[in-house]
Formats: sequence, structure tokens, C-alpha cells
Amino acid sequence: MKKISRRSALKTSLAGAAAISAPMIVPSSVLGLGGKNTSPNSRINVGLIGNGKIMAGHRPYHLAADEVQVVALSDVKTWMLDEANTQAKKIQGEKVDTYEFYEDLLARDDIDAVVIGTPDHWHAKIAIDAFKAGKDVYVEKPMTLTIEEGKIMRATCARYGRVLQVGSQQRSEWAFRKAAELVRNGYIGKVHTIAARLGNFAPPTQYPETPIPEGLNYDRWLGPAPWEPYNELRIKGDYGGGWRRFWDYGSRKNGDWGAHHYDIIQWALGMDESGPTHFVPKGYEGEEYQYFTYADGTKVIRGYDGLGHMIRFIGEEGEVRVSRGGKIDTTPASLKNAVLKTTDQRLYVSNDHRLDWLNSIRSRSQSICHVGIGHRTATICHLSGISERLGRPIDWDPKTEHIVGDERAAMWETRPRRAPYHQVV
Amino acid sequence: MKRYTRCLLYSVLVLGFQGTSWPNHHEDKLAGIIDRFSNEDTALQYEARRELASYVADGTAPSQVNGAEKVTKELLAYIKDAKVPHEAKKYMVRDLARVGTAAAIAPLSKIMTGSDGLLAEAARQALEQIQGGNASSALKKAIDNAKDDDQRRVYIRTLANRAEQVNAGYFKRGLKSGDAVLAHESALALALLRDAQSVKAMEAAYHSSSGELKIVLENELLRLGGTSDKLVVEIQQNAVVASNKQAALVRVMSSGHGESTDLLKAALSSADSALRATAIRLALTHGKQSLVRNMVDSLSSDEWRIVLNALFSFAGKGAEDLALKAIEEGDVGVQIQALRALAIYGGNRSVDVLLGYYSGKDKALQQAAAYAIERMPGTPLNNRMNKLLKSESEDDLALGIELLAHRDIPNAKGRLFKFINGESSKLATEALKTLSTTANEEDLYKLLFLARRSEDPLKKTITGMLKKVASEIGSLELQAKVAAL
Repeated sequence: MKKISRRSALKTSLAGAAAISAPMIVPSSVLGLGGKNTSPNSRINVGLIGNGKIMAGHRPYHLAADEVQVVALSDVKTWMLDEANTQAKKIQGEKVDTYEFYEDLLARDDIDAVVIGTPDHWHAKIAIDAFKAGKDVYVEKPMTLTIEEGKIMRATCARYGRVLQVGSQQRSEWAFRKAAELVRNGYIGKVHTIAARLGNFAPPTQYPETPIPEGLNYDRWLGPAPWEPYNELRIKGDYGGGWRRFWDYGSRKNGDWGAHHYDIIQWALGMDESGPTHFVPKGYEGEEYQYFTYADGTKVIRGYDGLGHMIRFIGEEGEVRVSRGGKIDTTPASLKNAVLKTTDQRLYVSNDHRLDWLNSIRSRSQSICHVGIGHRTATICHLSGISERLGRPIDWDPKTEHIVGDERAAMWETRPRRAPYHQVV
Repeated sequence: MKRYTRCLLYSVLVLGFQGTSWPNHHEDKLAGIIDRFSNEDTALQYEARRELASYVADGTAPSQVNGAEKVTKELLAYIKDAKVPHEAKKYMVRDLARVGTAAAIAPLSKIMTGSDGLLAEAARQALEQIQGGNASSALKKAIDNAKDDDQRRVYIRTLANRAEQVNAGYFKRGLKSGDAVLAHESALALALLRDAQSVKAMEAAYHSSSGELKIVLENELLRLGGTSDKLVVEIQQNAVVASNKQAALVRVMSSGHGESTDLLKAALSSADSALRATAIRLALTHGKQSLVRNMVDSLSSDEWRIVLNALFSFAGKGAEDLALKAIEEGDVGVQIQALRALAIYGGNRSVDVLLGYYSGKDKALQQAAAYAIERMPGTPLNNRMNKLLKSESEDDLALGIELLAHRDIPNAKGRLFKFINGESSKLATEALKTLSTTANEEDLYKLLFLARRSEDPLKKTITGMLKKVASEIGSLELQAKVAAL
């Protein structure tokens, strides 16, 4: 028995002895193997839709994964397909088929699953079409552009028995899981305040119209969003702005980082099937910060001092502060060393978000950030955005899933869709 | 200065100098906002757009009496004013989609069929949203006068999305019309209406349809709660789209239809692996686990994973038996999932299996075993750990000490300090390693006390551990004391 190496191996692989996890599929890239070892017949055939900035992270992973065969790529910016296919050849050994229209990719019988890395305003339509075509889905966060889309996605996913993972990948980081488990199990007492740091984009703007470049289907890029004159900066994939800056294609920072941090807050509070009830925008009656509250009074503040962390949970008996990169601090400090009891509520363990999705496809099980969770988290993103846009508080009933007491605000649960990109069903 | 800040300042100046161009409205706030849309700088136009949005939001807040009516009236007045900039009209028409009242329907209908494509589309979207009024007749007129099938399809869909029961007859006739565009859109429209008569009309059409229309009807009928079980069974057996066979099977099992078991059996033996996977999952979650139990000797690796995911359906020892059998299957993915399942379903017989894999060389399996060791309820594992911690074998003792990092058993810390104070330097080191991941402030003070009393090499080992751990979790007071060691 090589005990020391075992302890070391576990610690090294887990980035923290308290975080024990177990992948059920081990990609060749993880094992350090050069090629694919799984027989082609048992690989999951994957199509990648939207090959811009975010897909640059997903694509090499799937190209290298032992149990995955990337078989097709799609994008309305056709030059991106060339770049993506060059990478496909380099990693997977051969080029794959490319499509301007995702429908052509979904029509292929040999594709089991798709990764959707488009801007937010296309997520729901493509995902729903994928469910109907019998494909499993990994969709970037936030899962939707509107609350109504989320309801339809949830129902369609269940109807077709499909597996969906939302790319709120902090659930697959051990430090966030540890933080959530400490909060869930009362190690800091009753939580009354939570602070989340989302950052800020510059306000949306209108750029001067410029010629649409060759190789871009701009009408298709806009899809259901309102027509606006083309400018490269409007559609650019840019974590500091680009399309993320505009309400037409997302929920700005509430959707961008909120889809990560609100997701962890929901997890920690055990609210994955519910949500907050009251949303207040920054500036309303002098409020220094945007915030929302749950029915029990727990207050979530956007931007409040996180003491150097992304999320800060403040309870009656202590604090948990957590960030990416396995960074977790507690008050008292030794709390992060607590060995959870077998009677404590333990949370779903995943240390690799994409791998968790592949595992769920194999076992036909719910992934760690499944459609129901993704919908509830996205709902918070959207409600925060609606409140910000209207400049007034809104009340939400998480049971009926409707805005209450404000008929006009309720109109924002959905958005008008530009013809011919009609409402998805 | 950031660009948007510059824009804001500039726009304030422009507003001040420009004055107003709208004599009829020169005193109201909205006129000032609309003025700013005339600016050639598109960024400043967007500033006006943001102000317009705020104006509309504030004017239609719940606190405003008849706010939507007033704002609709104001917006319509400016929209029909030829001097108002096109950009302003674009956003005002868009705003009507959310705040417009029935008073907007007639003017919007006119804009929708006008020559300005951008405003026409915005008006169409607004007409889709605004309830009440007589939008239906305007839309039907537009349908009749559409310039081509694409435009006709858009208008029909707009009418459909209004989901007004009054149009049910129109769409029922459309479904039977033989007009491909109208029939397709009518199927979707009736599905939005959802009433029993609409569903009945769709069911009737399903039998006589083909091609794209049949697929649309198949999809929509599976979506609607009112679809008859008989038709769902028919779709399960004869669906045009393969994934609809799975969806229909999900539906049949949920409804408990009389033929559900037969359909499930057929699906379990299907050559379609996706359908078979769905059937296994459904059998295990709908009380038909015996059907799957009969298959366990011929399950593929993926099918084993489905079974392991639904082990809860096998009561008592059945679940542990299956998990242990799955571990023997050899596929590492299955083994890992099975080991993790022992965290819930494991009993006496699982303890040695877990410890064996925990002590093995495969890292992924070690992790899976550790996962189960942390979580496995009941006493079997605690008893085994107690036994290890009382063993004569130093290897067993070391394993027991290591497991204390994963599992909180009674008096765990007391045992660790006993090993630190013991004769074996190897076990003392192991105990310190475990404490380094489980200690709290009190434990660290105990170690500080021990370090002060001890001599090398134990003192050196404790001091090294303290310096590392105290800096992470210790109080400042403790850190100072450790630094002074």
C-alpha cells in the first residue's frame, strides 16, 4: 500500500483535501494521453454552435476529450468556422463539417449533443430545437434572454427527456461547493446578508452604421432581437463589453456575472426550485446598491464590499467568503477546515463542469446545473435587469413565476421577437 | 473622461442650446427628449433613447393613474408627427409593445402595412403584444393583402400569437384549407389556444396530414395536455421524428396508460439505443424495475450508468447488490459511479470494497471511494475505522488516521492527539497531516502547547505544520505565538 502517494494524489487532484470528487469519464487529455482511446461507436458525437470567444474554451476540451467526437461546427460568422476547423484538424486529426445555419447541424442523425456558445438571445431557440431533434445540450449562461423562454425550455427538456447543462460552471469548483455546504448546514448560523460582485459595463450606446462584412449573416446574428445598424463593436465577443453591453442580447452584468454568482447563492440557500421575491434597483430612493430579498428577509446586495472575494455570505454566527481559483475564507478562519458530518446535507459533487455534462448524457441523469436550476438563476438575472431598466422595485412570486402588482413590468417577462424569428414553443 | 460621460455632458449642452422644435408640445418633457434624437451623433441619440425609456417606465408605473393610457396617447401623437425624427419613432413604436393600450391598435395597424419596413416590423411586434381592441380584423385584412407568402406567414403568426379564442374558427378552417402556409401556421395557432376543440381539430388533421404539417402537429400534440392517450400511443409507435417516440413514451408512462407496460417492454428491446435508454430510465422511475433487473446481464456500460443513477428504485439490499455487481463490470466510468452509489446504498459488504479501492493505485477510483467514505451513513464504516485505529499493524493504523481526514467519527481529534503523542514518529506525522486539514483554533493551541513541550524531531514536525496552518486559519494572536516558537 503506497499510502503517502495516495494522500498526495488525492490532495493534488482535488485542490483541497476537503473536496472529494470523482469523474466518471476520464478524458484522454486529463490522463495525458495523446489520442482518442474510446472506440468511435461509443463516443458522444458533439456539434458546436456559435464558435466565438466563449467556444474557444469549450472547443479544445471537446476536441481532446476521449469520449467525445466533435463532428460539426456552426456559426453565422463564417470566418470563425475556418479558424475553428483549423483547430479541429490540429487536435482531432481531421476537419469536420461546417454550417452557417444551426438547423442543418441539428438535422444530422449522427449528432448526440450540442454545445451552444452563441449570444444569449439565441440560446433558447437553438436549445429547444435541439431537444426536439433528440439532442442533449450544454448552453452557455445565462440560459435564456427572457423568463418566458426559460419556462418553455424547462417544459420542452422534460418532454423530450433530454440532458441540459448550463455553463454556470462555478458549481463545479470545490470552493464554491464547500461554501454552499457550510451555508446550507448552518455553520455560520442564519444567513441574513449576501454580497456579490458583478462589476459594470459601460451603458449601451448606438454606434454609427458601417458596412456588413462579407461572410457575416447579420440578419441571422440579430435573429429575434430588434434591427439595429451594423457595427462591429455591437456584435463583438468581448468580456469587457461588445454585445454583452446591450440589453437587446442579454441582461448585461446581471446576466453575465449574475448567472455565476446568483447561481451559487441559490445553491447555498437551497432555493434552486424557488427564488427571491423583491428586487430593488440601484438609485431607487437613494439606494446605494441594487439588491433583492428572499421571502425570509435574506438580502442579496450587488457590489457591496466582498472583502476581496466574489461572494460574501454573512450569517449570525460567522461568514464565508469565496472566489474562483479555490479561494475561500471564513470567520472564524478554521471553519473552512470543518469536516462535514455524515448527517449534514451534502451537495452534488462535480469538479469538471463539461465532464459532468458528458457523464449525465451517459447516465441520463440531471446534471449539476440542469435546466430547472438554470431557469431559476436566469430568472433572477432577468428580474434584476427589468427592475434596473424600469428604475423601480418589482415583486416576484416564485411559485406562480410571475411579476405581481405591476402589469407593465410583467410585460417584460417576455420580449417581442422580430419576424421571422417568432416565439419558440 | 469616458466616452459615455462625455456624451452625457454634451447632450445636456445640446439640449440647452437647441431649445424645442415642437410647438405643440414644447412644454412637455417628452418633447425635449425627442429633440435630442435629432442629434447627428448616434451615441447622443441613444442617450435620448434611454431617457425615453425612463419616461415611458415612469409614466406607466403602478402609482400612475391611467398611466398607460396617457403615455400611449402621447407616443401616438408624436409618432404621427412628420417632423419627429425617424429614430425617435422607432423607439416609441417599440415601447408601445409593452405599454400600449387598445387605442394604439388602429394606428399601429396602419404603420404595420406602411412602406417603412423598420417601423412596420416594430408595429407588428406591438400588435402581437397589445391585448384587447380589434387587432384581429386588421391582421386578417393584412393577411389577405400580403405581398407574398413570407409576409403572409408573418401576419398569420402575429394573429396566432395573440392567442385569442375568437379566432379559433379561422384557424380550424385554415388547418383544413389545403393552403400550406395557412395550414402550418394554423396548427401552431390552435396549439397556442389549447382548448379542447382546437386539440380535437389538430388530432383530426394529424391523421390526414403528411410531410412538414404532420411533423408540426406531432410536436404540438405532444406538447398539449389535452391530447388523447390514444393519439399519444399512436405517435409513440409511428412517430415521423425519432425523438418524438421517446417523448411519447415519457408521456405514456406519466399518464399510466393501459398499454404503457407493453410499450415499455417493446422499447426496452428496441434497436434504437436512445429509445432503449429512455425506456430503462422510465422503467426504473415508474415502478417497473423488475423489467430492468431481468436485463442486468446484458446491459451495456451506458445502460449500467442509467441503472446506477436510479438505484433508489431497488429497495433494501437490491441496490447495494447491483452497485457491487456494477463495480465488477470493469468499465471505469461504471465503477466510479457505482462506488459513489455506495455512499447512499452501501452496507457491511461495501466497506472492504471501498477501503480496497481507496488504497488502490487508480486515482479516479480512489477519489470515488473517498467520496463514499465521507458520506456513507450508519455504523459499518465507523466500526471498521475503529478497528483500523486499534490494529496492531502500522499500515492499518496509518490508513485509519488518514480516513479521519474524510470522516468525522466520535473522538476523532482525541485519537489524533494520542498518535501525535505516541511512540511512532510515522503515525505522529500521519496524524499531523490529517489535523492539518481538520484542525480548528483550539486544536492549534493544543499543538502549540505540545510543540513547546516536545523535543526534535517531533517539535520540528509540529512547528512546521503549525506555521503553515496557523497562517491560513489561525487568529493573529496564535500566529504571533507560532512565529515565536
